[in-house]
Amino acid sequence: MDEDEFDALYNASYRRVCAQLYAMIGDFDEAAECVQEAFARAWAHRRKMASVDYPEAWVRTTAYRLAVGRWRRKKYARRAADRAVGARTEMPPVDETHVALVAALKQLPEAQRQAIVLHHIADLPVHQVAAEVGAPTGTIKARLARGRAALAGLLAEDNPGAVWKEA
Amino acid sequence: MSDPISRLDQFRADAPGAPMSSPAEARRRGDQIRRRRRAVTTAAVAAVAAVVAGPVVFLSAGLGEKGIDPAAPSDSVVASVPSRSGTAAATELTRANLPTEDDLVADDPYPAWVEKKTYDGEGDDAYNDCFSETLEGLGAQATFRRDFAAKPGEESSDAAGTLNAVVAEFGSPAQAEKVRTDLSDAATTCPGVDGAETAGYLPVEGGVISGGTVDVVTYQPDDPSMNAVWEVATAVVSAEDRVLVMTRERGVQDYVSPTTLQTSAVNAAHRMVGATPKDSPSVDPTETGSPAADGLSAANLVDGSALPALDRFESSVGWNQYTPTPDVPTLACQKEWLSSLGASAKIASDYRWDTDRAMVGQVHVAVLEFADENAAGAAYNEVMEWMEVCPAGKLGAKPDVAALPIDVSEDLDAGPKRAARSQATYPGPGDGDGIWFETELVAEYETRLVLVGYGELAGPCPPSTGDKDDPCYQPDQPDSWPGRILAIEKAAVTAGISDLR
Repeated sequence: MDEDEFDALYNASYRRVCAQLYAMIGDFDEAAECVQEAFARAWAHRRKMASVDYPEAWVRTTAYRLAVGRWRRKKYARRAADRAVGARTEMPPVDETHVALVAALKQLPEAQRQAIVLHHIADLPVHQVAAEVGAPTGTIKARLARGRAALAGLLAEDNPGAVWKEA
Repeated sequence: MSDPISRLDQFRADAPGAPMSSPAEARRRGDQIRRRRRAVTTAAVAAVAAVVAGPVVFLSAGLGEKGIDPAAPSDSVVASVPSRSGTAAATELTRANLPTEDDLVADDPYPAWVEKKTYDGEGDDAYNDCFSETLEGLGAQATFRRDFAAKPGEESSDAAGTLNAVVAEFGSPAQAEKVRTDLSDAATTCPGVDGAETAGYLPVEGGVISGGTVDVVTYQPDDPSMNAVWEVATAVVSAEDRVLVMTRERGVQDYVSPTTLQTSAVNAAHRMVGATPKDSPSVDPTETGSPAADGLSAANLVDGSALPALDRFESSVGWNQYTPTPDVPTLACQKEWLSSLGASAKIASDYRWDTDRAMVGQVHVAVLEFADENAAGAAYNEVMEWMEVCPAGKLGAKPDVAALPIDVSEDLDAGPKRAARSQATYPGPGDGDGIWFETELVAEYETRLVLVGYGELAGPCPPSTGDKDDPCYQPDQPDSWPGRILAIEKAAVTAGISDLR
């Protein structure tokens, strides 16, 4: 992967992956930092990236693992997060409806949340979600069904009177 | 609107994200990562090559693992090596080759493991969720299994999970090694469960062990309401023509450090081939006395959780207590093993910080108790001389003194009578530009000395201190090195003299 290819990937994917990671981990700032760091790692592994079928998926997975690792270390060692690229960026406010959705997503088990984010927000077909998380498609379908049902309940609590049922 | 699909669709359409920084900035950071990784990778290759069998002594009386330096090469060193009662090939595999309660180290805060059931064979139920094949199916000629449970009725016993060990004998050492490799692969990938993720990896080495690893995976439980993940920690170790599989399974919050199993697996591997791991320092003829009898206890050793994180490097397990193989000196510069100082008792512990490629940090702590203050003072002066001249008779490398000892007694909260810190550097493993930057400390309080050797792998520049005038200033690195050194020293000295103050 050369500079032009990397820059094209970055410009096309950065915001999208940021949004997806935010939905997965529920922390806007942390998501942005981890995605920036994941892109830096992609550049550090640029030879390998040349043979990766879905570079955006690689970045997303790396960013997610970074986010989980940073959270664990912060929790375990009670210390500030590692530094990512550059200075901390001032983040814009997030739409309140999105905050509520992310808060609901955060209450789901990790596997369900991951499946929902990848399928509904990253817009990946089920078989690609299965490939990305390393689980059978049947398992992903089950996680999606359970996750959507749980999410509907959580959103209904947020908005009493409105009930959504799994199709 | 509570329809989750339309909410998710809207979220996707809005793509709330951070303002973009430039891709050039990400490339610059990527180039930095690449340079650093090259140095660490070279170090890792040589580190593996440098591991040779050496004398290993264990303590497992509920205190965790602690390295004890052997005396200078002599007959007594031979005596400190776990004694073999015969080769594995010469004796038949029996239940006696299974680990006992004394071989197992319980991790804090769980109670000790107690034997629950012993089987001839591999038992009726699966002993490891990751494996799809039995040892018998892999060609084992004999197998035995023992199950353990956390001591019932004790605090946290319900949350400790289960632990079991299976030993198997094969037709040859080569076959045993092949099986070990296959089982380690299965432990890593864990095909037996859905969606397993790697949570940690550690080597198991030393003494009679031909090869071994601990692999830890986690996976989501079937019950979506369970607020934890399942963890499977599998140690697979080969020695002679035998293979040990030790499995600990538990439900755990995903931020908890993975199970290590390292010390338990080493002890069990020795027992598997008829060696007897040491169970008390007083048994070691090279030791200086019984720490407990002379007032030293586990409370005098810094706990791993008190050590600050080495935040330049990601590690899946953080500071991990281990037994160095071969044994390493507490201070890189020390001329002789510490037993030469004539202490009446000594306890020690060693920690390492590993990335997924190499050890990049090490902490070695020793606490020495002397007959009187004069003896402690004389030993302090001897150690100071080591730090100044750096004869490094036990390291196997020639360090350079980077900073002569300075008085740091005022910096340590515990108020030692004297304390001195020096710095030395010595080459990292391999031909790369990796360098160990070691800070050495000796502190004296009444009849006691506390020694701390703290090394970080870096190079050619030292870890960043945050000083912008330093030509080695690295803006991308946390500037926590000086604070980390002091925090480690404070914690070690405070614990080391805690009972005297």
